[in-house]
Amino acid sequence: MTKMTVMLRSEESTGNSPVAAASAGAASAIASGGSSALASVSLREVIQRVSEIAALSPTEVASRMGTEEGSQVARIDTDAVETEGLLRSWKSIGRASPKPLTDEQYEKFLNGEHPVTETAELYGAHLKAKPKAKQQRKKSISRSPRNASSSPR
Amino acid sequence: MPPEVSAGYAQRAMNKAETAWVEIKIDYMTVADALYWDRTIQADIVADGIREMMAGRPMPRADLYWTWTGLRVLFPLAQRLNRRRCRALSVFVENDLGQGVPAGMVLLIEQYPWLFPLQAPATESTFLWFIASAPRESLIKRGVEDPPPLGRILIDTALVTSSALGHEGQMWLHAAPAGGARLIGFYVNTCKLRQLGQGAQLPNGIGSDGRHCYASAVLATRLIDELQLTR
Repeated sequence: MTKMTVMLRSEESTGNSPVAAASAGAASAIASGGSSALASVSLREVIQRVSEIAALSPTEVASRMGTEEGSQVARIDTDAVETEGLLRSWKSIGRASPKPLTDEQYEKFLNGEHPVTETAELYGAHLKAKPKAKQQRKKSISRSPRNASSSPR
Repeated sequence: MPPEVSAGYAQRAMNKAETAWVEIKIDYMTVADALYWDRTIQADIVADGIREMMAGRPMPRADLYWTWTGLRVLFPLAQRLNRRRCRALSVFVENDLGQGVPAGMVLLIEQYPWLFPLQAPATESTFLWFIASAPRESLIKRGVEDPPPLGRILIDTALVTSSALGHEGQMWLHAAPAGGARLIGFYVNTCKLRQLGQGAQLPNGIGSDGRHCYASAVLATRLIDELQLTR
């Protein structure tokens, strides 16, 4: 896994519009993917694209996505992304419940994360380094026979 | 009768030869899952598509130009502006290294106006926005021994979601024009959905182009029930 670089340029002011607020999570969303630089998509461009998608019916958006030109609205250049480390271990993958997410879980989803499980549990410690104190605590817990059979999910 | 007890998502799928079950896991899609798809499986889809078009054949798949990273990140944000929630799911199969490889991708809008609110048990439905399944060869190349076909399973995720959210299984979708008649055939013949007539009025007042497919509450119950063995 290579070092993560945030790929959305943040030099522009996002203002206080609802669009800006909704789009502000996009940078962290892509960053949470856990890979190297993606593309030079500016935050202003993200806001434009999100607004454009929101203004169309889902049918119109889907129709556009069938053409090279129309699909640019969802285009994020992933050529620089290394795939190593992006796959989860089979054991760490849980099964989603069809029931609705809580508001807090949905916020995590909007940020690109797994809404229920911590990223480090899914992709390993190389993505999110835990504070030393926590790591030591976890070690001591794992030594306890009572927790010996606990699984990630 | 609409389903009273909400079913869970599928946990296994029949292999292509229909001789054995293959375990699958359906989980929330992360951006990393979408990135992996775009860099590997989508790259194969694009390469196949270019080959076909260079040979003078029509575009083989409707998802040739899709970028799941963009779909996963931008589209739920857009729907938030419309006060709607999206759900993104990945269907995983295990490879020979003990890793889960995404074999299917789903993006749906959890709550969307239903096509026939006056005659239905619920006025809302689930809109299945984007689905894709990985080419079999692409998965085999990545160490998946016997990838199962996932078409019905992907549709089932929308039916089950609709049921769990109180929309009685009511679900509809728009078959991307790029998929041509073949895609409509897949939804109607393989997935057993109904096709909305051309010109039929959609909730936004616009006439359908004839490429919308749907499941009513009664049909959804039957379709969910047909996949009981996969749960």
